[in-house]
Amino acid sequence: MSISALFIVFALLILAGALFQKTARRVLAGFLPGAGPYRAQSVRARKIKERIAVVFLIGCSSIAVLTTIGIILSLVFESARFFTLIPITDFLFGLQWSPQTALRADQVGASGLFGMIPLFAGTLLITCIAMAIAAPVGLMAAIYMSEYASPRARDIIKPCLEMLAGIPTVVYGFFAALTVAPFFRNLGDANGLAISSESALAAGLVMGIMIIPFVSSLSEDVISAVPRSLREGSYGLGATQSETIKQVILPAALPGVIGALLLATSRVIGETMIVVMAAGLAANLTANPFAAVTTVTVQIVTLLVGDQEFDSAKTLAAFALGLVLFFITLALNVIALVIVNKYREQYD
Amino acid sequence: MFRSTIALGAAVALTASLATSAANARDQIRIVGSSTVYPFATVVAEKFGKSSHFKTPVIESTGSGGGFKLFCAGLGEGHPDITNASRAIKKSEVENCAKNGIRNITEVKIGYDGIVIANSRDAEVANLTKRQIFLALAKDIPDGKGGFKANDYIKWSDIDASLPNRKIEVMGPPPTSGTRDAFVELAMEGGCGKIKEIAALKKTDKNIHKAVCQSIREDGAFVEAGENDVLIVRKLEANPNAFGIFGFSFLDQNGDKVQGSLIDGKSPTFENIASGAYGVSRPLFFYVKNDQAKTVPGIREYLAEFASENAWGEEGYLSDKGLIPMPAAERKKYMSDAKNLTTNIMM
Amino acid sequence: MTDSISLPIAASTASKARLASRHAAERRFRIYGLLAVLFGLSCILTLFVTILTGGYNSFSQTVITLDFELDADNIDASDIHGSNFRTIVRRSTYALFPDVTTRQDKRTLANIVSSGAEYQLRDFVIAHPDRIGQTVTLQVPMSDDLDQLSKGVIRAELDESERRVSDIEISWFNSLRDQGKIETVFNGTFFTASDSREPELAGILGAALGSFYTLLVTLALSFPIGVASAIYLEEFAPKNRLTQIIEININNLAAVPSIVFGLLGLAVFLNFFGLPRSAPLVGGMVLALMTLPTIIIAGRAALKSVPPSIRQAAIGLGASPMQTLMDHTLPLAMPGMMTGTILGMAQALGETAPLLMIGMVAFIVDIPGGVTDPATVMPVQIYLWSDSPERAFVERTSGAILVLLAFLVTMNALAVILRKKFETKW
Repeated sequence: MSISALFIVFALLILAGALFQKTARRVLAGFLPGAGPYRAQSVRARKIKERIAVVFLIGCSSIAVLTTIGIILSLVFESARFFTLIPITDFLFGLQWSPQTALRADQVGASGLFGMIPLFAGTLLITCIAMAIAAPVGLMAAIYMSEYASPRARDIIKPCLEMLAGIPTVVYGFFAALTVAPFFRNLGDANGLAISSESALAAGLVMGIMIIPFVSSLSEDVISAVPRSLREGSYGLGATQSETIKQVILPAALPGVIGALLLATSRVIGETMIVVMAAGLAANLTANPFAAVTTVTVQIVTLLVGDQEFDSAKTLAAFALGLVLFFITLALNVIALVIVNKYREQYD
Repeated sequence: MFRSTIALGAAVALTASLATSAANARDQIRIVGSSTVYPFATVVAEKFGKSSHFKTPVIESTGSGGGFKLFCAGLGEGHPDITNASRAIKKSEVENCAKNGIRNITEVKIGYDGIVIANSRDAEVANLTKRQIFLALAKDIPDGKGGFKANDYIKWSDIDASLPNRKIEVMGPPPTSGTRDAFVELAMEGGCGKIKEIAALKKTDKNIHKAVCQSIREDGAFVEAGENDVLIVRKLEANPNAFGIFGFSFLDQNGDKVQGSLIDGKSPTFENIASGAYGVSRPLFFYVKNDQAKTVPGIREYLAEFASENAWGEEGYLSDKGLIPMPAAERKKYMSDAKNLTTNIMM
Repeated sequence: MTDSISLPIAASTASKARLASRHAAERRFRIYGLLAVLFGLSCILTLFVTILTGGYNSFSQTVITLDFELDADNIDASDIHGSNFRTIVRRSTYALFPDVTTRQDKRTLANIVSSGAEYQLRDFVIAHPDRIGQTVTLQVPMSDDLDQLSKGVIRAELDESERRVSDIEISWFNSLRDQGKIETVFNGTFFTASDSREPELAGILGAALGSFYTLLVTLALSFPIGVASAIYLEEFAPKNRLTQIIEININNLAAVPSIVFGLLGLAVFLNFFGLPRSAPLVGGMVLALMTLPTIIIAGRAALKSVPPSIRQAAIGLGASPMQTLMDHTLPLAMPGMMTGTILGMAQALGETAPLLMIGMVAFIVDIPGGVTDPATVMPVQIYLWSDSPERAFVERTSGAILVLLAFLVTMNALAVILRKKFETKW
């Protein structure tokens, strides 16, 4: 089994490597007589070649779909077992998440404690804080790099910012827990505000910093790809540079920018370490950024690596959470797609 | 051009490395399990690997629950040989193991882990009783009229005037943690028994008694801080108001930053925990698949290293790492179990 | 370009004011952009400085010079592995302070030298069997506690009860330092060894190689597959409901928590295909699945931003769709695809959660030799060290982070060079 699997992987790899540009043409040229770069080739040969390539491309795209199916399959069975233990309505609409006493079989009143609402509220709160930092900073940085900075400066700034995405989350976690959180707590003490030392604010802020490059780099790419003719047309009409950016370039780059923002949001939703370290694990249902909250993914990880039995409701809850999260983000993505289609401007 | 070269290069490198390390019979012990036992098991594994001609075992840190899940999944090379646990194996897990053909398991207790409540050196040393710990951290406390109310203590001094005039803020492990379970069982339930309203409840309604004794408050006074004890220590250092609950070895290493609180008049020192005078400590275990000792080389030798006085004895190297040794009689029993691979788990 | 052209007529005060306010808005906008960039750069600077100040100590190690008598009583030339080097090291250590006699003090004295000394001595004898019977002088690492004392992390001025090093150890340390036996040297072990539970013997090489193999697999799988998917979805797929579902599905995959990919890897690669546990091959495959959405999304955005006129021109000249793609569209979209790959790989380099399920969060001493050997990766090593009780692991953690960042910088620099090569502005 393992050898055949390795072989499959390897075969895929060869195929994939072969795809690239000129290599592809050369490889295919070897198979098909008469075909070759810039040489006369029969239309038929070209058609076959094209078809092979398209089949390969379809194969590659289907991997993502297969992954999704695999993920659903690996979550759904355990989730079903979870729902035989805990009623699905209690899970979906419960306002209290507290798996602490439900460990034991002889425990009473354990059902109400697996309400997922506080976890999703916490995820939403932290995501909003992070995006409130990353979206404006990232987008403005992208605009500055693409439109104002000299190419030289841009070449330095962009990779520097990209480093932010690669710093291990443990580092951000320590930074959030030991530098940012105490700073906010002291600030709150000085102004008479009760800011918990495990505030959502600290975790969200640091996470926002982490995802700046997701917004800035990807947006920068699409912004600088907007055709120059659009810019020049706009200048020709007397618009200032910032007016051009706001009214011409951004609408043209919108799908890419939204894609970047979505990707950044996804990264925040999936992040665990920073929240565990800076905001703790207490599931409070609150919209107050100064309070401690927890997120869905943090709970999933904590439940999966816990010391409790693996087939207890506690561990199974992790699978159910994963499944629900999957469908919620799916809904969000559908909404985003609708928005993009509505506001997208196609130029050129 | 550049790209295709890279792609091809990667492909070549990959095949080369695949070819050199084709899967052959396992000659290395595989261990999974608790993150609490991890720091001790790894020390033994390293010594074992360096001083014998066997390969150093691979030890994964998966949590006790995940460890048992992997351990009980089946016999054979694809499954681990040993799992570490910070709690004893449960009945359902034994059944799961048996269902998958694993009937001969040896349980080896390796020693004790003290659980301490500590705070920053910048604050005063606290002298707590279990009753006070319960009153500070329980979700519901007696309201004095025969019923219960949500815990409304805000400061330690509200519980007892002798305690510091500081806000109750305790960082501890989440409910999925064995440390939390042990803490609840030893400290909270211990304190519970000291309160007569609750003690009375034990006779009338066991379930409510249990729920009252085991629930920890969720209004922010108890902070669920994850399992990274180093982080808790550093948070305590920054916040003199807070207390933290963690393993003894972290207190031992950070004595300049944090100090352990006295519980029922005893301070959490190595001697006090070992003698049992300090009442909050729990046993640590590992479990071995006896059938796999025949096929995987080195298991017996690894067990012999672990169960030697040089390792888990009173002056062994594990005690240097903060593991509290078992009394001599217990060591003897588990040493013989480990040596003979006695199946001591009842199916 | 933005200079206002002053019109000779009808420049009323109102229009001048409007123009001034428009220019002010322009300046403000530009300043916001600059501030955003500066904010990002200051964050990266702060993080780097924090890590550097915490980590540079890990690159040095306190060593002690000892004389070892390699007598034939303790060393059996035919069985060097089984020889009693522990006794030799003990004897040399006791010889430093002959007046220490009590059992307790001797035990403490023996512990000032790292437990790695006996293995270092063993390796020396294996390399130089001719020295048996002689006395050799070697530098061996001191224990982590004394190393921390020498670096000032453990402070001697504290009360004895508050530190791990006792007064007598400090007096020994000071006397040895005055005799010139103690030195601080470059910590080569850190770069040549694998994980260890003794901080003074722990190194990053095993994890670094693990990361290298894992990322190699990830890149080899996710880049071609990601680019090919992006091309199909953007250039060839019919724009219908099915494609939309695939698009949403891919966006959605980006939001799946990474540990769930670990669950998938456990179910598919380990349980179904029977691939080995803890292997970089499986780790790389799981991370490839995880980074695919990032690469596909970035790749599609990049393809979308190629002006349609380019494609139309190529098609108009008789190029086939594949030729248009290979010769015109793809080269223009390459920088954007590289960006996606950089971000995806950076994420893969820093990821720990999905590796937990497939057994890569582990204590592994042997240095991996290929993609199927048990290995761990750098972020896992960092996480495991950051959770170790020993104080000396704090600086090792930061040191490992520095190495990881060096890895990251190299990787990014490479990608930036590649990106630069393909860049075209319209």
